Amino acid sequence: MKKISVILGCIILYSCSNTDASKVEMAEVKKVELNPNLKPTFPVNDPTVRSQANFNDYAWQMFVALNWPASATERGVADLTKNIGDPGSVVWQSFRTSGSVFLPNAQDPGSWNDGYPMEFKLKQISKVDPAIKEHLKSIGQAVGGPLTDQDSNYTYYEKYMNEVEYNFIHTNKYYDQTVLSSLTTNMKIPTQSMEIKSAWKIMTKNDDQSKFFTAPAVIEGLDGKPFKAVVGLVGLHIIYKSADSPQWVWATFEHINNVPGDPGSTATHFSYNNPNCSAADCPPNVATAPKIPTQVTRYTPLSKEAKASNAKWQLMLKGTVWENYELINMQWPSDPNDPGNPQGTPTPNTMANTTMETYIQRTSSCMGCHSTAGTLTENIKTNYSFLFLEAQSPSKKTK
Amino acid sequence: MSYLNNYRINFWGGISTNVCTANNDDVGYFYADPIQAKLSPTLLPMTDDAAIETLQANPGWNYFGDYTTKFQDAKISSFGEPDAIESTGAIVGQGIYLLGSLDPSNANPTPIGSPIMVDMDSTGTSCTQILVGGLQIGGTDNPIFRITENTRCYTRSLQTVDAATNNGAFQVKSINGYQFGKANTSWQLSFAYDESWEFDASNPQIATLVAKAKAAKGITVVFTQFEVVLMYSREAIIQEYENGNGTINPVLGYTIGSIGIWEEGEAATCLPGRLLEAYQPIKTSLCQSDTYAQLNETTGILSLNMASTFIKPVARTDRNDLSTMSPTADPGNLQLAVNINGTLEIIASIPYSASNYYSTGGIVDIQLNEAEIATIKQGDLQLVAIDPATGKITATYAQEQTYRFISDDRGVYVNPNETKNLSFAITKWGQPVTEDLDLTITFSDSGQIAVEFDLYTEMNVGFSTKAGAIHFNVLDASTHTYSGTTTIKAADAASFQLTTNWIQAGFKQVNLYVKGAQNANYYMVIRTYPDDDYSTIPVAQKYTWDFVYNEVLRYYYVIFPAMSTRLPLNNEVLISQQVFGVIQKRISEPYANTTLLMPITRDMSPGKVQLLNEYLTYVNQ
Repeated sequence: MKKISVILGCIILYSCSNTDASKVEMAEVKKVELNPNLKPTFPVNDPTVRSQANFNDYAWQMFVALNWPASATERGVADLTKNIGDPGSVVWQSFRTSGSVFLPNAQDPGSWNDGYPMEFKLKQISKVDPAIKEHLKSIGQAVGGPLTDQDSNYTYYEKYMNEVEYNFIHTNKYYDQTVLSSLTTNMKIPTQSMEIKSAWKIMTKNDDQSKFFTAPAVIEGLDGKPFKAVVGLVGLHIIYKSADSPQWVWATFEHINNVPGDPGSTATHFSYNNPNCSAADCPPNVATAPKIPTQVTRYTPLSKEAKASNAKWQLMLKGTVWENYELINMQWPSDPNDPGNPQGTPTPNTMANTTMETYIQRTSSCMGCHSTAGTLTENIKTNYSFLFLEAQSPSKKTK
Repeated sequence: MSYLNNYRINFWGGISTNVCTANNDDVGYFYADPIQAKLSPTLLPMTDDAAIETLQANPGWNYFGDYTTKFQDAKISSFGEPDAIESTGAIVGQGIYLLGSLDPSNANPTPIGSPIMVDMDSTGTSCTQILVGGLQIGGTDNPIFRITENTRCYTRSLQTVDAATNNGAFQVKSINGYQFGKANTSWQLSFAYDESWEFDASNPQIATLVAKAKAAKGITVVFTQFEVVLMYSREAIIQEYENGNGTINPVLGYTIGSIGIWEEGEAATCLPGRLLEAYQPIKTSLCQSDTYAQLNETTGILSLNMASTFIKPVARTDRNDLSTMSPTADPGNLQLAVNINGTLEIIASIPYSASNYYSTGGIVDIQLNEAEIATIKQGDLQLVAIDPATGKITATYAQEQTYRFISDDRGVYVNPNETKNLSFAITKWGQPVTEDLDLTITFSDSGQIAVEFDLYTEMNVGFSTKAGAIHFNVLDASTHTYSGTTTIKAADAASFQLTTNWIQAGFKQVNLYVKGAQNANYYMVIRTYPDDDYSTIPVAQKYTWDFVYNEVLRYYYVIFPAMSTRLPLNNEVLISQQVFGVIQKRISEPYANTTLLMPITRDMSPGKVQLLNEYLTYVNQ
């Protein structure tokens, strides 16, 4: 991602309303001042003073930079002619999806910018989406699985990586499972690598679309047939390997109307909760049968630090769709450089996004879980990234 | 010769441990059957969520602990030969770190986890262990010394400091009435020299250490752990859980230690030397823990490890501030004395510094002359204070344990139908024993569970010598204490074995007394695994998630949530299909002596390990 530092000042918008076909009236000029703290520049370094409050602000700075409108021609670059909140796709959406990197038969995915701009496609309905073997008969109530919204639609997920990580994978051919299988020492992903995981719901008449960041998508249904829908962003993970956090830093955001109880939400229709359904009829945080809405509650209420950070940044983003998003928390290593503590002491110890760690909220730890990440053949660890599980093997050449 | 008598590199600073208290007697019988590794009858019929809620409402002090144990801001402070210690040099100020194990399944040169502290007996209070995968001096970016070798150490010289003598009002956290600010422990780890050691040969202190280690067996690291303090009070940690936070509550304490030379024939985990125990009742004495003393016959220097000898009356005011160390109690005009048939003879003044002892590893060196050397071999050593004006003894602090046991068998695991040979050496006044010794072995329950809930257990192992099985009588029926005796021939005392055999699953503390001693000369904690046998259960029943989860994994999911922050143990698809290979590796033999073995708590019986392994193979065939 290119590093361009520009500070935007006031921007004056003009709008016209046409109430009489024979006349054109100029509507009152609206003056929208963009807060100078809203910058398209990604904050590459950790806060100097390592505290939860500072890391929360760091997370929001990332969120703003990544949700800046994207260049129409270059991946990972902000369009500086636009402001955050202006229509169109955003920077992280221009990153490479994992599917565009780990191609069938380990094909070379090409240059970073290849295939851009691309059609927005979704198909993954589970954070972990394995094939279910027929002979596993047990119910497995507490397992992960698809998340169904209150409109009986699945939630869809997509994963992305930035240019730094892409180049690392591409240069080393780590999109090829046979190359990964030959490694004997654990992977070390470069500093300033970044991964994004997004969660989307299909917009329905029950949703106020003006409050969601939306995008038209082509969705591949379970039957393999594609259909078009407008989807709204409900969850966003940002993981970034800074110079001072070899264990990466882990921010997660949600839409404020996902579940009841989050500050700032005025929803009457929650995406993932029916307040009128009792716990007996709608046991919380349990995977449901297809088409049955999942009743989701937030296990860990937002901390006071997260609330304070949200209040500040949502105010700055007022008037944009992004005021409807909230930081759940940022997990960071409070002891990052201790040889006797490679895990770095994840702080806070647990953290969960209701759209992505729905069923494991109590023990969810981004760093804890990702510390186990390895290749498909488990020969090495892959430095907190699970993306390498998607690496494919080359097709066998026939003579 | 030992680390006491040879070149040393001393350090001090902090030590942190993050044990999960479900592997600890705070949670106890009402929640877990730690012998069977099963939920207790109280929790068993509940749903997982209800069981967890019950636990979190009445938890131990660290329900979310992950067992990570590490030095924290520990730095080299001095180095040198005995009686020639220096405090300036290239190595002074370098950080020292205990490392986790390398992954045996690949060639990665750095560890992925930390050392861990894991109880053998989770109901016990007398012995735990730290498993380690290496040692490093110098930080991540500039290491000057690094060893990667799996080893472990055990609780030695455990003392609990009485509240009356420790007036630190801060953070004296009390969980279930147990004052955690006050445990004082010593540890010893050893690393055998190996050509794979990485070191900066241009650092003269490191070069000296490595050269001497290569000429001997290796290096030994002796360190203490004291003034340990929690982060949260009981009320505060329960509030964290009620708020939905999986907050950890590690203890942080001081450490004082030394790296020295490990000689051939020396124990790896048992501090060498003559052992002097606190003499007076603990409540009134300034001395509450052990002193170790050893003579270098060649140089005539007697070296004493006094890192834990005297109490530290004033605790630090800020839990996290380990940058300074307040003095210990001042013992006055401290002298080394010898009790020869009831007559006390003063040998030499001990130059102990209450304000600076920690910077030299707590070790004091005294040059003795030939006469003094001869005298100290004739009776029990004592630490006394005398009035310089009158020469009268004003205090007696420590008294030698006449017969000293040395053994690496401190925490012992015994599998079903297994026998193990446990090795011991006995010395008298630091010298070979010259008379046959009556040895009494008693079994007792090592923890509070038995006392509090009247849940005493039977003997879990038998003992035998080369002469045959030792017969045990009931010493106290109400507490299921058993006692047996045998005789150790003088010629065998320097190296004798007891063979132990599995009888049933359980935990027991085994105490060894020589010649009717009032206090045990030595103790071990022995854990015997259950003989779980699933061979007769039909495949269609046992190789199912429901069976395996309830039989094996559910205990860990409910009791040890830290494991599930890595791999959610209640997730059928994840465990059975996606990470099954990782689990199979982690429960396998190559990981047994590493910090990476699963479960971390080392309480899964061989039968359960086999069941889990077979299930994972079956569903993925």
